Amino acid sequence: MSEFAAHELGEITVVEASGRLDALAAPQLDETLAQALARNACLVVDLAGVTYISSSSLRVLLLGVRRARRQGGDLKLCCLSPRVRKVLALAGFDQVFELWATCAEALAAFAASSGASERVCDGTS
Amino acid sequence: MPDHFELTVPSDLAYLERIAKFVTEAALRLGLSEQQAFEVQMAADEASANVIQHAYGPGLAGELHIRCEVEGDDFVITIRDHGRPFDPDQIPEPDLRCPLEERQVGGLGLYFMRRLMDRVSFRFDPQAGNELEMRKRRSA
Repeated sequence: MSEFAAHELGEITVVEASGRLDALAAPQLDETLAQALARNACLVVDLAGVTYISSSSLRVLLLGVRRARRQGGDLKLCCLSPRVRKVLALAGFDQVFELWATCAEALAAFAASSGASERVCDGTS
Repeated sequence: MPDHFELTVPSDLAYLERIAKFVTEAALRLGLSEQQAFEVQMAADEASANVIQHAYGPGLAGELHIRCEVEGDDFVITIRDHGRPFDPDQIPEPDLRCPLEERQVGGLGLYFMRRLMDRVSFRFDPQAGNELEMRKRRSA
């Protein structure tokens, strides 16, 4: 079973995922990210509640980060359990995504990079 | 102490969690460590999703028969189905060194199965059905 919730902080959308992100959950994750990306190019996906992630959902995250970066933003991941982090490393995705220990750090990373990039993703505005 | 465990489920992604629990319990009861049990349930999850989505898929329903047992030093998972056969050698492995924009999105499930297990083999028989066998050496 999996669950998703999204809320916006200025120009950043935080998506909280929980449960098993397997092939059953992948379409709902895809829809949640698509809705978020339609509003903001800057996403933080909080994986604190995720116990397992499979290739289907990793594929969805990969497509999501590509789209976010094409839109001038990014999709950052936070709060990975050691097991979920190992799965990402197995796929080489730890070299693709920014991985943050907390949601606050991921949000701060957007604010820190906003001065250097053309597109501003400022969670405080 | 049973020496093997079997499960039959419909070819529906809703049963993936049931399969994961079954494989985890079987692995622990047959002597794998917790970490190994996580790895084999992950391989089984990827394999089962492949069968449900590709061997079966829209318009073709059936069952998956899953068996977990020990053979010598190996923990063995066998997944049988009567769906469409597919040739896993036709699926390219993802190139993990590729830059993000060029990376293929397919083939990751099969890649995980081969990394997490020590041996993965497929057999297709029009009468007996398709059989996927995955082996993992138990820790010393």
